[in-house]
Amino acid sequence: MTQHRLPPEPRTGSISTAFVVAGLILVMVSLVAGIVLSADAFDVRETSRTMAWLFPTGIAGIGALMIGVILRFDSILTALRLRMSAMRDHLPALINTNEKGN
Amino acid sequence: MSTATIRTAVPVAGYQAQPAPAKEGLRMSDVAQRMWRPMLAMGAMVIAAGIALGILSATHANDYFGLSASTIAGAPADGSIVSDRAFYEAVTNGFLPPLLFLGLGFLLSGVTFLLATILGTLRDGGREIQRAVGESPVDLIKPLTAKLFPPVMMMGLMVLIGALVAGVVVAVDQSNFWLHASSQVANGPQTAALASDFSDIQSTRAWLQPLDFVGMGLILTGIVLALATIVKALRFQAGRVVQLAESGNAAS
Repeated sequence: MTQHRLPPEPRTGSISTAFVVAGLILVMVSLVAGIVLSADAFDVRETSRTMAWLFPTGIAGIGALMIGVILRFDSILTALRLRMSAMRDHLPALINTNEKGN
Repeated sequence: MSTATIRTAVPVAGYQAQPAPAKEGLRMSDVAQRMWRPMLAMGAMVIAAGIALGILSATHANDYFGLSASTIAGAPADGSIVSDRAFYEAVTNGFLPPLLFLGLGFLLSGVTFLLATILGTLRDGGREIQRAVGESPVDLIKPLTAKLFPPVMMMGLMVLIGALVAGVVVAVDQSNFWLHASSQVANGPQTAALASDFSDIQSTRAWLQPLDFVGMGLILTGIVLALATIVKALRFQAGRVVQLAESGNAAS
């Protein structure tokens, strides 16, 4: 029917999904590292070494998720433009339909 | 309208759609419309309280760390000097970080509720346009992203609340530990019991911070899923407009 008329979803949508998955993996990895470290918290050397990368990893995960959110907003803008252009191109026909219906 | 009619799926621009139900119960978007403002307000209040606590903790840290090493070393248990250290450790290295993360979580949950409100508005607006052109309205069948984003967001919020509870436990342990005489704790725990307490504190703190990140990550994932649903709803509506116009042209 009208399936072929819509352009494919923008690539930013799938890139956003990739960022979200990467972000979730990073925060989960930091949690697992934290749990492993908790069994060894008295080892100052191990604690310092792990904490040095654990916090940046968590922040990197949140950062990746934020990028995913921003890219999704970009997809929304593209979809909004699509909806606006569909309204612009087909509104006269829709109004005609309504007049005939009445 | 019968249930059988409601469940009949019709394709619109590659998306599965169903006739809009005549009557609906309590909708997620209605709840979200009422909830997003209180959530934002709660988040702002929690963060403001966190900043106030941080400033208070800083004054205690200033009092304690401004003392000479010999004065600190000779401080007795439960005195004002060790109380300053205990307050600082309980707040700054205890429950303040999870409290601030929970504040951020409330703010982001407010954003999720606002997105759910936008989705409800899009659906209602779409139905009105379809009725205005004399067609029976059809809705996009709830995609997986729409089903997932409310529970994912709630799960994230629950993780953050759990982290705050753990933070309060750590804060109590920190306070109990640092209220001992400085000679017992300031240069590392001097007894086996104190060493055990300190080990508990350190091991809990090791997983508490990543747990905060996981909670935030889940809420952000919920937001991404809500945004993906909005994209689907907008594309569905664009396709439906074209479909209505074409069916109108074909009829004339």
